[in-house]
Amino acid sequence: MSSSDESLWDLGEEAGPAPTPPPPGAVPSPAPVPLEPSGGNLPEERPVAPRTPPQPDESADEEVVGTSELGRAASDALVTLGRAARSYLLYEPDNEAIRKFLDDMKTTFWAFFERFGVLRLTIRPWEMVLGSEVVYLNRDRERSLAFRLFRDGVRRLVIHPDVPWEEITQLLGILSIRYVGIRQQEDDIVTLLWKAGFKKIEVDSVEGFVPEDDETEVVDDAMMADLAGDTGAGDGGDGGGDEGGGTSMSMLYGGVAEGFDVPWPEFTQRIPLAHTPVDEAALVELQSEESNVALPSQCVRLLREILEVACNPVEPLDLEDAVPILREIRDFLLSEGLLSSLLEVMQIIQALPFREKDLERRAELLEAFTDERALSRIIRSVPAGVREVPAELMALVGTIPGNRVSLLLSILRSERSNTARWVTRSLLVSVGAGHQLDLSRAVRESEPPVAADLLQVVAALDPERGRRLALEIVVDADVEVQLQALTIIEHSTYDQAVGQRLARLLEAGSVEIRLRSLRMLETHRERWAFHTVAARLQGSGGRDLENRELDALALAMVRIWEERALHTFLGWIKPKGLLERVKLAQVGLKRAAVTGLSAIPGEQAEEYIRLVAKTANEELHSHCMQCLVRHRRLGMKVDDGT
Amino acid sequence: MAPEQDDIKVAQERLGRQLERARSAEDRELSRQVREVGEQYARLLYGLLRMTRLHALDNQAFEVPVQEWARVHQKLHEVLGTVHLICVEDQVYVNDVRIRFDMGHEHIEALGADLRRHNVGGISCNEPLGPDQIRFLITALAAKPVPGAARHALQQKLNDHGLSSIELHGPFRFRMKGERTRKAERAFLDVYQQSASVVTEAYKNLAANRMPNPLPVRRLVNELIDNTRKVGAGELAREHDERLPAYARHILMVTNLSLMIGRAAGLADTTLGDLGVAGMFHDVGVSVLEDGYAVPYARHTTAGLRTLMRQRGFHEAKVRRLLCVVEHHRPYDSPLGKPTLFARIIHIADDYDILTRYRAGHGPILAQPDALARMAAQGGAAYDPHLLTLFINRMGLFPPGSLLRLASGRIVVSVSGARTPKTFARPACRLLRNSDGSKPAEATLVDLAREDKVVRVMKPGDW
Repeated sequence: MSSSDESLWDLGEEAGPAPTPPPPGAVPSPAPVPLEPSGGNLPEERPVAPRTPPQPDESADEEVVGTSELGRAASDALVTLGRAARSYLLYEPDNEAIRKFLDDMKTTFWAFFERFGVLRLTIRPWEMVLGSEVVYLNRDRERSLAFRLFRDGVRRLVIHPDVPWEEITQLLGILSIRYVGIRQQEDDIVTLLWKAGFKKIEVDSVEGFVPEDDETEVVDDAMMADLAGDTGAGDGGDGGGDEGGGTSMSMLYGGVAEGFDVPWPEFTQRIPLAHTPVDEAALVELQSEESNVALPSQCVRLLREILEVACNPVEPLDLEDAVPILREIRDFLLSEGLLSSLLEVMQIIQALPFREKDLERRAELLEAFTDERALSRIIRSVPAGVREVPAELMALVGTIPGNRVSLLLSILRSERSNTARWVTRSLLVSVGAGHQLDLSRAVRESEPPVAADLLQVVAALDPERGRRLALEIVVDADVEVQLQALTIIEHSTYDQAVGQRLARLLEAGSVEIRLRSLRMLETHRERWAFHTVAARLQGSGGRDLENRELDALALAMVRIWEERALHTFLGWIKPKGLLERVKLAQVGLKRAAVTGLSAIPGEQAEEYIRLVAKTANEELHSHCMQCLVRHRRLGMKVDDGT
Repeated sequence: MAPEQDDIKVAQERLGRQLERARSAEDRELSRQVREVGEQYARLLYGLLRMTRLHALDNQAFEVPVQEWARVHQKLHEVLGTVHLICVEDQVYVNDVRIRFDMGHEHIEALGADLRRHNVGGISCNEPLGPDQIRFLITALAAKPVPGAARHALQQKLNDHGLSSIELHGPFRFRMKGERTRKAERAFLDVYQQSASVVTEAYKNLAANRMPNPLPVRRLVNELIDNTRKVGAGELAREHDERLPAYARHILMVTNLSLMIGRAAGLADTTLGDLGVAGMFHDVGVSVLEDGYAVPYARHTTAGLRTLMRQRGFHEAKVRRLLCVVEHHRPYDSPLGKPTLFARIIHIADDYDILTRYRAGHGPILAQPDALARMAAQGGAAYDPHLLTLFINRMGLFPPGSLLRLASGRIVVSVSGARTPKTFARPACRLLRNSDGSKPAEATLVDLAREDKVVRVMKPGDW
C-alpha cells in the first residue's frame, strides 16, 4: 500500500493502527486483546463530567459599598475575597472560574495597597468597617465573610501593603476551608490564622461565642447541698458548679488522688551536669520528625497501638471503640493515595490476635479498607501514564473478602477517568477467572461505556469467549461497544461468521465502524463481499457518504477483486441507457470510480480517469488530477516491482 | 506564561491541594449528613418542647416524635460522638453547623427562648438517649424553672436520674467588639491562670465521660506560646498558683516545660501548638474511672488513649496527641521502637516534675539538681539524649526551685535557670534566709553571676 493510499486510510487515532493482514494461508490463533493503559482502546477520552455548579446568583452577591474612594476600593477587594473564598464551594479547584476570581482578587487588593496603603478592618457581625466607613456588608449568614470571621472571634484584621501574595492566598485558604467543611474540634479561624504565622497580616481575636457572665445564678454551698439533697460536703463529682475557690477545683477534678503519679522513676546513677551544645544536624532531624511526611507512618503506628490494646484481655477497650478512628485514618490514607500504608494497616489487622468476640468485627474492618468507597479512592489515586497497576494494589485486591468481581464492577460503573477505568479493568482481569459467565452477562446488561470495558475484560480472560461475545453483540451495539468488539474480532480468527458481521457493519450508523469493518473485509479479500461493498456505493449513489468513505469503498473494491472493480467503475463512468445515465450522473459515484481506478495499474484506468476529468466540475476535476498523479506513481512502482 | 499568571496558577493549585486535604479530612458526606440530620434534631427537639404546651407527656402523641428524635440522635452520635446543640442569640448550631431555617415560617429561634427559661444556652449529649430518657429530658425542660438556680437545678435533676451524660451550658452570646482581645502582651501569669480553668473544664468533662474538646485548650496554648517567647526557664518552671490541686499544677508544669524543650529544639510554632495541647492532655488517663475506681497507674496511658480516641474528626494533631498519651512513659530505647518526638519531650518534662514537685507533707522526692543529674545519666536509655541536653542547658546546674546554701551562709532559691551558657551554674536567686538565719525584710535578688557561690544543695528534709 503506498503512502498516498495510506493517507486515504487515515482514520485518525481513534480507530487505532491499521491491522496487519495475515499471510496467505495462515490461520491466526485468537490472541488476547491487550489491555492498553489509559484507555488506548477507546475512541476518545470519556470526559470527566464536570460538576454542574449552581450558577452563582450574582443578584445575591455582595455589592461594593463605601462612599469614599478609599472605601470603595477596600470594598472591591473584600468582595473579591469573599467571592474567591466561596468559589471553592461551587467549582472544582482547577476550574478556570476560580482562576479568574483569584486574578480579580489580586488586582483589587494590589490596587488598594498601591493607592491607600495599609488595610485596617474592624470586624462586626455583618460588616467590616474601615475607619468609620462600612466597606463590606452581607447579612446572609451562609455567605457573609464578616459573619464567618466574627463568629469565630476575629475582631480586627490588618493587612499591610507589602504583604506577599502567598500570605493573601493563605488567608483565602483559611477562609475557604471554613466555607467548605464542618468545623473540626481542633481548629477554628482564629487558630488557623495563628498557625499561618503571618508576617504582614495581623489578627486580633476573642472567643467567638462565649458563655454569658453567669451572674444570675449564684450557687452557694447551702444551695448546692439543698440541690444535692445532702447535708454534707459535695461528692466531688460532676456537678457543674461555677463557684471559684479550691474546693470547687478539687470537685471539678473528679477527686484525682494525690498519688496519681506513683510509682516515680528510680534512678540511682548521677552524672555531672554541664552546658553542652546540640549539633545543628541533630536539631534538624528532631524538627523533621513532626513534618507532614511523617504523618502516614504515625497513623499506622497509632492504629497498631490501638489495636494491640484492643487485643489485650486486660484492657476494657473493644475493637468496636476503635472503629471510628480506624475509619478516619483509613480515609486519610486513601485521600493521600498511600497504598503501602493502607496495606500495612490491613496486615496489622490481619496479624493481631483478636479476641473471639471481635473476630467478626475484624472482618468488617478489613472490609472497610476494601469496600467500594475505599477501593474507588485508591484506584483514582493511581496517576495517569502509569503502565502497570501497582503491585500493592493487586495485593490489596487479593485480600478482599467476598465477591471481588461484583465490587469492581460496581466501581467500573461509576468511574469516568480513563486511568481509573483501565486500572479497574486490569483488576477485573486479575480476579475474574471463573467469572466469565457473569462478566459476559454484565456486558449485555451494562451501559455502553461499561459494556465496552467489560467486553475487553472478558476477551482478556478468555479470548474465545470474548470473540464469540463480540460477534454476538457487534451488529446491534452502541458505537463504543462496536469499536471494542471490532478490536477483539480483528485480533481473532477470521471466518465466515466474522465476514458476515463485517458486511452488515458496512451499514452501521457510525462512519468509524463502517470504515474499520471495510478495512477488515478488504484485508481478508472476501470476494463474496465485493457486491456488498459495491452496493453500498451504488445504493446511496455516493450522496450520503463522506469523500473518505467513498474513496475507501472504491479502493476496497479494487483490493478485493480488481478485475470486477474495473468493470464496475467503467459502468459508473460510461453508463448505458438514459436511466442509468441519470442515476449515475451523481458526482459521488464518479469520484469513487476515479479513486478506484487510481489503484488499478494500466493505461485503461488512466484513460478513464481523464475521461471523467473532461466533464467534471472543479472539485471532481481536481480529484481526478490527484488520482492521475497517484496512478502514475503506482505505475512506476509496478514497473520496478514495488 | 507571564510571571503574574504563574502566581495565580501556583496559588490556585496550592489552594486546591489544601482544600482537597481539608475536604478529605472533613468528609463532605459527613458535613452534609450533619447539616441534614442536625436540622432534624433541632426541629424535633423544638417540636417536642412545643407539644408539651398542648399535651401531657404521657400522651400518645409524643410516641412518634420521641422515637424519631432518638433515632436521629443515634445517627448523629454515630458520626459525631457528642452532639452539641447551642443557641446563640437567634441562631441554632448543632456541632458548629449552623442550622438553616425558613425564617418566614419557622420560629426555631424560639428553641433558644425555651432553653433560656432554665438559663440554658446549649445542651451537649455525650451518649445516645433512649425514649424514656428523652421523655425525662423533655419533662425536665418543660417544667417550671427553679428561681435563682435554674440550670444547676435542672442539671442536678438530670444527674439524679442517671443522665449526667447530658451537659447543660449557660447562655451564650457573641463577644462584642471592644471587649478584651487576645494580645501577646497579656501577662504570663494571666494566661497561666486562665490555662488552669480551661484545663479544669476539659478534665471535668472527661471525668464525666464527655467528649474532649481541644479547641479552647489550643487557643490557650497558642497564647502561652506567644507569651513565653521571652520568658525564662524560671517562670516556666515555677508553679504560679499553689491553690491549684497537684494534678492541675502538674499538667501546667509539664506543658510549660515541654514547650520550653520544643522551643529549644527549634520546633515551629504550629508544632509547638500541637505539643502544648498534647501536654495538656498527656495524663488524662488518671482521671478515668473504671467501675468507679481509678485506673491503675500502669494502665493510665491506655486509659487516656481510650478517652481521647472518642474525639471525632481526623486531624494530625489528634494523631500525634494520642501517640503521645500512650507512649509518654516509654523509654527512648524501648524494644517497641523509639517513641514519637512529642512523647519523648513530655517524658522528660513529666518525670522531672514528678521527681521535683512539692508533695504536701513530704516535699519533693528529689532536689532539682539531683533529679536533673540522675535523669542526665539516663540519656540514650530512658530519655532522648539530645532533648535531655536541651532541657539541661535551659535548666542549668541549679534549676528553678533549687534550695541552695551559699558560701556567705545565706539560703537562696534559684529562680532563673541557665540564662546563658556561661551562667549555666550561676542562676539568679531569691534570698530566703540571711546568713544569720533571719528572714529578709524585703524581696532580695541574689545574682550568682555577680556574687557569692553555692556550697551545698539542700535536700528535701534539710529544710
